[in-house]
Amino acid sequence: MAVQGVLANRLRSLLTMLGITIGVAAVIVLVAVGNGSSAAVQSRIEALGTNVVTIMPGFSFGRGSGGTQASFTQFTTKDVTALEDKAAAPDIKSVTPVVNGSSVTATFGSASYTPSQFVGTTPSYEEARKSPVEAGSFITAQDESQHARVVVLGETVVENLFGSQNPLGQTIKLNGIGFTVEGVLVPKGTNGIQDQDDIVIAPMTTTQDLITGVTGGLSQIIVEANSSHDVNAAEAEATDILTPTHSSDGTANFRVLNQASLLQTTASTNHVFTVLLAAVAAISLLVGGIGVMNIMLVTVTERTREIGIRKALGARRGDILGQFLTEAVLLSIFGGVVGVAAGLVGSLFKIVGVQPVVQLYSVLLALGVGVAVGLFFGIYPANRAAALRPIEALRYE
Amino acid sequence: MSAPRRRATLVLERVTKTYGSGDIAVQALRGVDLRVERGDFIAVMGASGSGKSTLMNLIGCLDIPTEGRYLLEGIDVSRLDEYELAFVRNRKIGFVFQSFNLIPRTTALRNVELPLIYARMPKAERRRRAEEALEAVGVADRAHHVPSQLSGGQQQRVAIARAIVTAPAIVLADEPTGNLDSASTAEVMQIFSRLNMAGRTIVMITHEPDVAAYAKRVVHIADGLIDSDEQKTAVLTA
Repeated sequence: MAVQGVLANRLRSLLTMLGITIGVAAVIVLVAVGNGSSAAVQSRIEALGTNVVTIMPGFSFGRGSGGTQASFTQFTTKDVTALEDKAAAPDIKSVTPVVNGSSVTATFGSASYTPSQFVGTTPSYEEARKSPVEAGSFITAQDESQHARVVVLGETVVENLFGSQNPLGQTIKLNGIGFTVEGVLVPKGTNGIQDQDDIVIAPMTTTQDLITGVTGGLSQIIVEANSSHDVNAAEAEATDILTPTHSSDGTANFRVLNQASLLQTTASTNHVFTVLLAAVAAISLLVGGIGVMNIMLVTVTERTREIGIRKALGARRGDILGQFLTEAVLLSIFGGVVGVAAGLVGSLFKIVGVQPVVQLYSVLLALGVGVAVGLFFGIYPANRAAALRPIEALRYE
Repeated sequence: MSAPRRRATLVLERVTKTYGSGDIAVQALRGVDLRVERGDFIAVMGASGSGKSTLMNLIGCLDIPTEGRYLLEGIDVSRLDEYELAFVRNRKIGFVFQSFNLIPRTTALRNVELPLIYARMPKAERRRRAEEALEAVGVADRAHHVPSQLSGGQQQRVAIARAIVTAPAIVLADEPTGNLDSASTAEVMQIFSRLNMAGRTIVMITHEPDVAAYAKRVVHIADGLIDSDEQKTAVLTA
């Protein structure tokens, strides 16, 4: 009976359904976009390692004899040794010193390229920064102790210097000094700010010998915690160890970057973003629901006489209520199912550079709310129909 | 009056109906007594404003009297609530309206099935009974047509089928030929006569003497009161 009512006025039913369809599809797609973007940001941050803390030298302002003056600090291998003390820092798994070379030009044959990152480090960098090699090997402890002239290259550097040639075992020149290519890193892509494959990694000892010199100190120290749960403990331990030697007037002269807390911050930002998108979509669902109510009111008025006939034939209040409520719910179920389909299809495409990630809960929620909206907005018109007095309804022209 | 031996199908006792209240109160019926025996065929005649529509609404259980009693097959329906009235309309009354009042865009068969749907009858049985009813009024071949594909006469016959499908206590016809041409009028009235001869009780409201002539008994109503009530000796069937 209700199906007939819906089919009786196809165009109108279709347009009414469209309101719900758009609402449901919007909820699914927008929540998926919000999730997709937070997933993308999370994976970028996770690529940096979630259980690591990065410590960078900084400066603090202290009161000196000539008024306020900035004091700088430098990290050395002594600090690395101090941090590796298991007794003072039980939560620290590994400590990786990093020196950065700037404007190091690499040449191979006639090709010349200046990578954006030049890193001198120790073997633990591979694990701490999650930078495994695709081919060959990462720099080894032996390379480190022997001050070996070896490098590991990122994909972008390989492409620029070697094209399609196999770089392994080849010798490239860095600022004119020959280095043997020992390994190639697994490509990571961009982290949103820079190309993570545009990198050259060499042993720290060699880098200090030949590229940066020993006086500059370490660019950063990467502290890896035993697990992602121990990151905060590891951070506290590292801070306690370094503060006595690197502070002025009790203020630490260094900065500590905790990936986990960064991840938390972005996650909560993204959550707000997703909720906002969902709220916008929910409003369109509400508008769709009002559309259902509008059409149902028109339908009830239009079919007043039919309601009168049905009542004369013995339809009870509940029969009429059920009929019109079913019609409203059918409209919203059809609309909702089409909306789910549209939302799923829409989520297959990249939207403003974000690959949407469909959440099951958003699909169920959108469909559920869509149907509930139809039910809620159907109640008033259906009730109005059911309450009509048969004599007046029969007389209605 | 007719023979009092049998239990009357329909008894109205001093029934009044007042619309509105106070100064604007209008008394549409001012104490109507009417008794309709089972198997009777009665025509109610009257000018517009005489109260015959009000009487029709009361008999059809679409409305309840202000005062007085209305017994339908021995049940006092004058004090029933909305839900119970719907039940009585469904089981005991078969309506035939002037403007046919079939549900649009719905097949004849489905229209006839409708009262049985509200009676919660199983599908197979209601289908069978609806087909029988359509057969009885001679439009079985139009079962799957929608009202807009039927002529006025055919539509009214479908409406009659719908009225008799529940085997009601009375068939209540309100100006059943008002929208029909003379040929269709004759057809429809012959169906009523046939149904009556088969034992169906019929109450028909009309203002056409030609149509009233088919009834066994003619009641005139004027100013909310029964004016005359004549039993006819010979029943016209031609």
